[in-house]
Amino acid sequence: MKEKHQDTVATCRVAEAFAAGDALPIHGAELKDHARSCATCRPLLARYTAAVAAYRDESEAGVPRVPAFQRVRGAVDERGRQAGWWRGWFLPAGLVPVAAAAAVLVLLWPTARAPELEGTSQQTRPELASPPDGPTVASAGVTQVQGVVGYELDGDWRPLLAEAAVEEGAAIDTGVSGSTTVSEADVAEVDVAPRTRVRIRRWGRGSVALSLERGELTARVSPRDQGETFEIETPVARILVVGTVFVTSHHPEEGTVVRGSSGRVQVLRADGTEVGFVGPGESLRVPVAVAEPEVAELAPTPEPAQLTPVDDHPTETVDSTIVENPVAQSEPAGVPERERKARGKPRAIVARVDVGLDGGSEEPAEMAAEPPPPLLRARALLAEGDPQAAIAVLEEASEGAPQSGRLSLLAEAYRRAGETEQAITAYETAIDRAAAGDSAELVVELASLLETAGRGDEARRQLEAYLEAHPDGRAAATAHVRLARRAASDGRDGEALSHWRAVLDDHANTAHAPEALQRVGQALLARGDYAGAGRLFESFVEARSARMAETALVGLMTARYGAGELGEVLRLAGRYEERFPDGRRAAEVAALLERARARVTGP
Amino acid sequence: MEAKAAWEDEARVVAACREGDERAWAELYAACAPRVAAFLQRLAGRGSDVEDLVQQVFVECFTAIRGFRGDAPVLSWLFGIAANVARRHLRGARRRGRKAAAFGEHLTVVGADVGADPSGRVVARDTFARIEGALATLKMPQRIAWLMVEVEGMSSEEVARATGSRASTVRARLKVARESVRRALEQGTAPVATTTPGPEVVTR
Repeated sequence: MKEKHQDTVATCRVAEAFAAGDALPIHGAELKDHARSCATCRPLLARYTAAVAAYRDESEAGVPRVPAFQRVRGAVDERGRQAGWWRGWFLPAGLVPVAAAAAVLVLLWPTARAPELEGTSQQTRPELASPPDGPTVASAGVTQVQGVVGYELDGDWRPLLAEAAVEEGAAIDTGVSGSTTVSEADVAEVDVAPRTRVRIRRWGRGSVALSLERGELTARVSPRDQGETFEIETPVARILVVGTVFVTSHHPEEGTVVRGSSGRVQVLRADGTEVGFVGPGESLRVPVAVAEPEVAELAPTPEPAQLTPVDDHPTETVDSTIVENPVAQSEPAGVPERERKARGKPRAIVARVDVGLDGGSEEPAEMAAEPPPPLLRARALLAEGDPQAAIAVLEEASEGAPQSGRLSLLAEAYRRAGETEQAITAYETAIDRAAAGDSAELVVELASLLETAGRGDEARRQLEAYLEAHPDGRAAATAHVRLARRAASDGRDGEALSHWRAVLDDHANTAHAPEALQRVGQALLARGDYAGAGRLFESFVEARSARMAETALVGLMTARYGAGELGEVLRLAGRYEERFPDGRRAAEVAALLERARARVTGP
Repeated sequence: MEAKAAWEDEARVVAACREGDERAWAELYAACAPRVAAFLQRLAGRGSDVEDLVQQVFVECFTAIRGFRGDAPVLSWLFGIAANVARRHLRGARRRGRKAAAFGEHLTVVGADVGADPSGRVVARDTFARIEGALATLKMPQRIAWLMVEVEGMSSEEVARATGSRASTVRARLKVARESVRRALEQGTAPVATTTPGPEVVTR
């Protein structure tokens, strides 16, 4: 029995796992021995574990025989016949336009899909997505999600989460501030901008088809082989791709705009007639009602940070996105010097917003020549270090029924001016007026201010209420981190650990994940659970984020060192040097390596 | 005991199942159906038509297996399907006003002292009844979490994947379920399963 029986509630990993709702780390006879001999576990677990074993045995008795395989096989055939009947009935739909056929497929899915496979959507696919004799359908994965993004399949909406699989027939709908990236290696990577609705009609190595109903997509497409297609369909155009980077946006009133960054894109009208090709630095617009497409060179654009929120200036934000494009880097004419200063060094990022709600000019230079709206002026003043002037601008603009965007900037200005209580009030009002999904950062800022003002309990309540309402919200990871730090500083280590675990479990793609990994791993190491720590760190060694992978690799080395697996430490050190030649933790690794070598060679 | 221990050659069989190989289907069925049946009986109760539920689970499974990517043990995937099938079954039973028949009708629970009968069998039945009684008071997702982790040996991450929940949610559910079971075990008066009507201490 390896367990230390003088464990306390705080240090016995079995008791801790039990209390935290984790699967117990040991089983069977080992658990029985432990539960009997550990002072912590005896009162807590001895009877429980024996009872669970008794329950398991008792409930095994009387399990009825399973039906014969042939009976099940027959039922599968019957299910297939039912699906086939619908399919046959709808086949004539092939005579109608593509959009109608796509709609039919969408209608068909519910009959072929395993009904109510709640939670198995990442593993199951609708039968029609992959014809019986066809190739296995590739699966699009979500590589990142910012803000709240909706995912709809068969009329069932749920939040889209990072690393989820996206099924054919599903629609993605980003909100005002949501965005996501859907990708698959060797196929394509598609950025879905805010305010976009797109349906995945097909997604496979040989054929990808997306329907863009509104908003904007940026697609980076792998080179296609002969016969392989990648297309985006909008209500007025079809865009066919042969390995390129391009942006497509669509607005119901303005039509579709395609901008090329590299490679060439063929653009067709919805009726299949060719509109033309778009090359690097070019853009092409297919209007809703205008016969002739407009082809133009890409015009430069200001930094995204300069785009005005929609409540101030809707013509600047609809369907906007950025793509890397070295074609044009010059500053748009007419931008006031104050804004230019606030903007800092321009990046090689261009691609202008194409659509204006007012139907006015699409020339960015003309748009930029308009007097800057209050938010823009206030931001510039803040950037210049003049919060009092920004407050004056924003207070004037916020008279009457102030909007959340202005109020939050006003709060920021108060904060910078040192007027904490005013800032708290402004944040609270901004949160009240913000849409549910848009209040995330405001809550975090407010909590931060409350902490500063010595109102830590209120800060904690704000963050807990936010997490309760938005467990997957944009600021959920940050809220967990704040709560974890506060709990740790108050000596509530268990609570702190559970927040770090939540970051790791549910927000592993966020910037907070490496710290969470470090904290959880350290807790395991501190209690001598080297095997558990090793398992934890090992599962993140191949993480996409370099920082996460580095943290995991160093943690794994430490765990191996603790477990006395010195050969592993040497091997992992080599791996670290190979992967992170200029790693930030190289000194730490070197020290660990030295200690391991010393232990190997002995005194 | 663990969900991943279905059989050694799982990856090969699952791959063949995806290709529509009927022998592989039969192999998968033979290996997994008894475990699925036991899980369904624990979840839906002995009064349920477990045979029909098992059939539903495997019809769902073979219809959708082409898309099963094999990144989780097939048994945990099957338990996820079974949980949904059982949930639908219980919903339907409830609609038909037969909730009691669908789950826990064998629990005619009476006050009795476990010490009154020292035989091991009665003690085991007492324990079984206590736990069944505790599970009966839980919400379905909590019951599913407890059965998957404590009885089927799945990790909270596997349960999360199988049920479409977050791991932290599974842990929270498991915590509640464990506490409920522990309380039931510690109660001085044991609710013992019996066919003899007596003073009811736990009802659904």
